[in-house]
Amino acid sequence: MNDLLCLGIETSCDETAAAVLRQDGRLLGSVVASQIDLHEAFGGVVPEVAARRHLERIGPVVRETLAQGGVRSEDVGLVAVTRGPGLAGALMVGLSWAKAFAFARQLPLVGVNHVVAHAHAAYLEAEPRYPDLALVASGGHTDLLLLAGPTGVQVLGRSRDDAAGEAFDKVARSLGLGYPGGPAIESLARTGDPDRARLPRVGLFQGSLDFSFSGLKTAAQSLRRQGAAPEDIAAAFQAAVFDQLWERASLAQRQTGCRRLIFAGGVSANGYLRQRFADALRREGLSLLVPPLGHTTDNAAMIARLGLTMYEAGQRSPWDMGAEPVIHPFKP
Amino acid sequence: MSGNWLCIETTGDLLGVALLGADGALLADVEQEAPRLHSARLVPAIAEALRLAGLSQAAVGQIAVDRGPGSYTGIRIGLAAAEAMGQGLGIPVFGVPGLWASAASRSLEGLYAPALDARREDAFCALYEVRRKGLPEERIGPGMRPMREFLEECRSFGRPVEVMGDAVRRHEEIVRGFAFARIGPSQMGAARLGLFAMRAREEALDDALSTAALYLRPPATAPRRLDG
Ligand SMILES: [Zn+2]
Repeated sequence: MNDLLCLGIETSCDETAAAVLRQDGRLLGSVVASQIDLHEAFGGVVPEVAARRHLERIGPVVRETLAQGGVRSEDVGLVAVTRGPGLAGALMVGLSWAKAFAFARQLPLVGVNHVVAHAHAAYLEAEPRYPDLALVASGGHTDLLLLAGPTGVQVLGRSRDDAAGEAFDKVARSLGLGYPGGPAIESLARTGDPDRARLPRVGLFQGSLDFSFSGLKTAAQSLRRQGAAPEDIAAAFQAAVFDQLWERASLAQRQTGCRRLIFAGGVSANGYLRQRFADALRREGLSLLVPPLGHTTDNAAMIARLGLTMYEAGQRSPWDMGAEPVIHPFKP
Repeated sequence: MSGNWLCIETTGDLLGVALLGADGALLADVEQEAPRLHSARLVPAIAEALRLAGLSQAAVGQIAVDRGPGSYTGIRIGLAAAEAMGQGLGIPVFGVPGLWASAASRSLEGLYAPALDARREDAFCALYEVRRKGLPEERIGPGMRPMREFLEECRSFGRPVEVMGDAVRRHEEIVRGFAFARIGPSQMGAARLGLFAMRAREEALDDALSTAALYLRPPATAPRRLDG
């Protein structure tokens, strides 16, 4: 009996998303309503604007998801929802919706960690091989995780300042590119020469695998003021981001002995970074695992994936589960 | 419309859940002072109300929820939960304008000014006239205003006004400074939402019962990039 249907709900930032995942791994429906248009003018996500839009979208998004999979409300057997980290007001919309739906139908509920779910997005189309090493890089997080088992997660390193995706956005803005900055920088960098605009490398912090992108961002911005060509800055910036990600990830690989690296989160949609990781890993006889297309940025399929995994491991969340905008220490 | 009413109030510091019979009889009433904990406490409060009334989820026939004004987050918690239960149970959900429902909960004819604390000098407030028949009529439309300015405006009607809602507690000194103003109850309870919805439906005022949030204010727009 692998026909349990998990409804996943995600509202932690600027995407309202729902998905239905069957226990055998088949994704029956997945809808992501992006708010990028709404926040573009502000150059970033406005929490109250995001929360209002989540409330308007959550019902229609769930109904569309169920319709996609030919699923009725009464067919759902499990509800998984993002409890954090994220914007408090945004999280509460999804959490309130998910809890009340599960309660109405008397279904089990599992609250999941958004960052860990990004890593588990890779398991939508591949089997876990615990322990797995995962690098989650997005606009909100840059975390190096050791996935020890279905529920055990160890944080090996995290950004001490800006997240990698945030640095992409800020550098893009200083180059006069749009928001979000990742795709814009990637496409501009294709015509640039990274060696014509040198950027500093950020060494390892003593005894830690933490990241730092704020100095890199500032250096890229000042190159612009010194008159360097935008395409060269973009190319140099991407190369420097890769060097830092790779240095930490490869050290973590040597320390943990993991044979592959999961690269997930919105930044992992960057084709240049993916290629560099694939090449570097291949040289070491290791492999790269990325989430399926369309599941690197925020989505609810990854929430349902992790929720089902936690459910199978016996985890349940209580009705009084609250939102956790900042989850520290890490909980899966 | 048949079946029991589940009433949900999450727009102020007080979390309220009430169950009404199809005839409007109060079956259970749960109130908790839970500022900023509505998201965690709401479902347990609904479970408690059902337990007190000896009912299961399936016995809920429709839902009435306060759609504002009040705490923005609170409005969303209530509306999201109500819509999710509506979707889960396949039952209708009615969003109730909270200030209007407060005025409608008073039976004596006269002027009523429901007002909710909106931080600092401000209140979400409106003025209604309760008459012998029908729902109260609007005299000053709902808005966010400095409490003192609002009361100055109420004075121009030249009649006594009962001020009610949690702004009464917050701005008690200001209210007492106006001779025409009487202090009414500071907490209105969730049952009024279902009773209002029943009356609005009888009077074919279904437009008032949409589930669109009534924030009354545009959002503050300071950006903060978090994730992507
Ligand atoms: Zn994310």
